[in-house]
Amino acid sequence: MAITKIYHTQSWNTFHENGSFAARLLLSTEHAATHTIPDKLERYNDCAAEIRRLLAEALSANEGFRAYGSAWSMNNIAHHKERMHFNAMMNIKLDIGNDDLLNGTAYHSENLLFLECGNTIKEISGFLFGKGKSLKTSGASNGQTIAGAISTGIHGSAADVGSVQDYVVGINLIIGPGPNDVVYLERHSRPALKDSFAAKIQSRIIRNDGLFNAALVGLGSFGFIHGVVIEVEDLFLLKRYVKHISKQVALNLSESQDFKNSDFRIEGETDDAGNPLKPYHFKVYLNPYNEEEDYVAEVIYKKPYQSNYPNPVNTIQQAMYKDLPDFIARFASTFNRSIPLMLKAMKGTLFPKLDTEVTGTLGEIFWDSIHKGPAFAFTIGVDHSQTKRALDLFVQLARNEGPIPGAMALRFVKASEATLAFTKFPITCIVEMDGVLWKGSKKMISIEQFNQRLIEVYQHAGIKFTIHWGKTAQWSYPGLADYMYGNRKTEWMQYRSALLGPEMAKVFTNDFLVTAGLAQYQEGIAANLIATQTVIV
Amino acid sequence: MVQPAESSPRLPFPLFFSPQNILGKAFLFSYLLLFASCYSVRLSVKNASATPAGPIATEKGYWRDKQMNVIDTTVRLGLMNNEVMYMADCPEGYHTVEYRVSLGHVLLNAITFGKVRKIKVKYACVKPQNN
Repeated sequence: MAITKIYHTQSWNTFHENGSFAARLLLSTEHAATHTIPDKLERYNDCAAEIRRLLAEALSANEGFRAYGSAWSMNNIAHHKERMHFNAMMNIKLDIGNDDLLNGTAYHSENLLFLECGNTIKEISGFLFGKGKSLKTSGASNGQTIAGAISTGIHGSAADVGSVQDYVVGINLIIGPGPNDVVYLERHSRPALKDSFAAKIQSRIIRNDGLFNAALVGLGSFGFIHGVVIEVEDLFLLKRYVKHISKQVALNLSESQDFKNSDFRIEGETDDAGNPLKPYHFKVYLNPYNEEEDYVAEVIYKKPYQSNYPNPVNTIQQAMYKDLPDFIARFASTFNRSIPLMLKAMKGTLFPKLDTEVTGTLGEIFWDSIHKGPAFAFTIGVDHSQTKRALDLFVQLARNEGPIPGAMALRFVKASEATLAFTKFPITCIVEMDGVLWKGSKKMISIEQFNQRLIEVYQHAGIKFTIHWGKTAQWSYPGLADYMYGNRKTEWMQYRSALLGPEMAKVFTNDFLVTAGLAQYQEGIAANLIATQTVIV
Repeated sequence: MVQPAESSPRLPFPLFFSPQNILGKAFLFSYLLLFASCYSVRLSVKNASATPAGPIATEKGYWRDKQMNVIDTTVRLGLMNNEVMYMADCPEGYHTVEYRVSLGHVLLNAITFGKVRKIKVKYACVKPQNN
């Protein structure tokens, strides 16, 4: 039998130390030993039964329940003051066989993989490497669990690929304590697996585009994500260049995404006619406090895999004094006018090294991230055609009401089909600032005030925007979710209410959901909203 | 990979160091000089994940997301011995091993002619793959 350890505590914190948050009960489930249940599928189902048991306990205690993995989100989205479930040890991986494929599906079994919730991006990349396969994209690092990654919508900067949730094909949810509360969701317009696969994981199957898209970026509130089926592709290499780019060229490219007719070219990365190729990934780094300085572009091209390339991961790495970020934050709070100078001095640490080229797999290029003390990240999504305005407003705010200790970047991601994906624009430009978490003072704006001002400034300028669900923001800002998602917010709440019912909706509600205005149970939803639809193959 | 790692214990910045405080600057300089003789080296695998830290992560830096085990002991070697081996339970292998050397360790080794060894090792196991 799977074993759950119980930890009694008073507080809990994120990986990036964005709390702490009051907590009472932390649960951690591990699989039965392989010698007691050798079959992986049996161990998976055994673990599902254990999660159902834990949900029954939460329900009978009239308490909430929230699953989390690596705790990388920089807010309280993964937190519950009553019961939290740490699932990073639940990391079974199952191949999909030809026998599992639905007749007529567009998917190929060799490109599908079933993953339990606690598999991290790094683990998955390593596993896929051994099969000659790769994830399609990841975030800038690799420590998130797959369930956490899709629930908050992590992304890289692959403009034609999308975010991590965009290659999810099926979702296995545990939505209550009963045997009938294990469901397997797919899109009815793009089904992949037979009913017999759902039966193997002791689930009832629902094929319904609306429900699937709502549950995809489910903010941890659509039930316990036990597993997902993802689509992968053949192993490939990424060639990464870091170059100076003029501000004007960078912003024009950001808004047009027209690399072919751009002045920005990299030798060897052109088509037969000599025009620049569109890269797999385009990211721009900038110092918001230096108007004169050129930007730095990180440009990555996709290449066929070959084994003879130099190891892209530094063999010898040095680490800074671990108290240094704390010190910088304290120093910045007292002497905030020194922040631009500090950023200038630390440019070599904050930005990638200029004029470098490196080649590696996706898993090697987007490598480990080491905890560097309390951190914040503002991550705002706008339509890419609004890049200049959105960036200018952000920079002016940081200069006029800051400075605050962070460096900025722009990334670009294709629209997601997920109902509450923050990458909702045809191409979302992600305007972001990362830095060390600071405390406000008489001399310096607080992070809460800055968050609020950011929303006010964007709304005042009439810019449509979204905010990454896993990042720092003023989530209590009145009407924020309505402004960002309009009718999609209600649609999402309706699907959630219909799937969970009032009792379990309450169990899977946490403070974050209430604060963001997404917790309200929707009464009177038509039963057929979440019914299986006729498949289209 | 080998990682020369952070070496100092927590600095008392708020008490002693502020940019206006000359004494503080002098203290910091001496502190860093003194502890420069104390360092850690890590040996880590490239293509595996460490066993996660568990639901309550209290460490900072490199070890924050890893289940850290510590061997902190002093060993007396017999006259004919010059090696120490410690066996840990890592079913799928070691992910990281970090050893630490401080001025005190070196001095102890020297004054006992190598017969008393202070051992300070941190390690993490590879995350079980449940295969």
